[in-house]
Amino acid sequence: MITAFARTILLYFVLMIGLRLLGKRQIGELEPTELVLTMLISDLAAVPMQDFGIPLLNGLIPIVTLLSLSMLLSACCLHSIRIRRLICGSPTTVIKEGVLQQAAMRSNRLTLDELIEELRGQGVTDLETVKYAILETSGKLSVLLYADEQPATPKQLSRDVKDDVFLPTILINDGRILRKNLRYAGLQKDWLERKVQERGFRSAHEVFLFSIDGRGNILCVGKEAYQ
Amino acid sequence: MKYFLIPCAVLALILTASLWNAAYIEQDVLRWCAGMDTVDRYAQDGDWDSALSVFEQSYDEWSRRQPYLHIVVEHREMDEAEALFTSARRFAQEGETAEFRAELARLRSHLLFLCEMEQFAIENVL
Repeated sequence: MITAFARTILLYFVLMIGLRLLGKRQIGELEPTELVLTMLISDLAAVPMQDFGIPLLNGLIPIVTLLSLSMLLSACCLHSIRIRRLICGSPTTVIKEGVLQQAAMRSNRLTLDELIEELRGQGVTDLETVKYAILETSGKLSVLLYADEQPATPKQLSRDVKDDVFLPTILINDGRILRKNLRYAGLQKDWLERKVQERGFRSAHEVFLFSIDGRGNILCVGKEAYQ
Repeated sequence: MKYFLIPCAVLALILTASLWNAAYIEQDVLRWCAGMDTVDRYAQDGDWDSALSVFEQSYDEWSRRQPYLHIVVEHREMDEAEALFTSARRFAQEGETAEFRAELARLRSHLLFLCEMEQFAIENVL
């Protein structure tokens, strides 16, 4: 029992660290190779977790090898376009200038039903409104509509719009002051505590969320226990 | 560049460690098998004291290697080898030559099998 417990913890952290080192791409499974890796790793980890007759090393070595190979392939793809095309493939245009590219669909074994289903999933019901549809290497379909089918932007309507898009900086997260963010925003702890008190809280511990955006707008949400 | 060098280094380390492990186990197994051959000769001659003495030496070496071998070899194979050592010792203590020699031959084969399992060979890979 203790063996199962110890091996599970160890393998869990090995997998976590490994996937973390591989980055967001692995978690997002952007490429088929990454999807394969994720599937293989989970099976490899399960074997020594359950079969105590197998040395733990027999599970760790394949996992570390796979992670290293994956990182190596990613690095090669980064440096060589040829290798990238070989391993990841290239995106395929299945609708070009509003015309269905039937040969491209055949070569990717993409049926009309699948194409229409994907378009429907993205809110497109009329094929004639699509200028480009590109089947990405991750298997996702990118759809670009004709300009007159897209919602008008203020720029197209020659309207001036005040820029009100600002990224908020979180200063308090679940009662904890984020000092790094405070320094980044050029603010002091005294200022923060004063603002928190102005909103009826005694200290940062009573605040669930405190953020400030580029315009100086403050959002302060207290913890349920203190509201 | 580090995303290229680090995985290369890790893979090289794993390869080197695996090859070293294969050589290390082979060295030990061949020594134990040589010991088994000596034990077998003594048993044939009826010199059970010498046979048991050399046998126990081999077993002591085997026991000392247990922690390392348990990390790299499947545990059921290790358990089987341990069982063969125990039964061979029992036959030797009772002076049963034929059974002892047969068990010794089985033990020798099993140790060679353990060694083969760790070698880098096409038949192992396929």
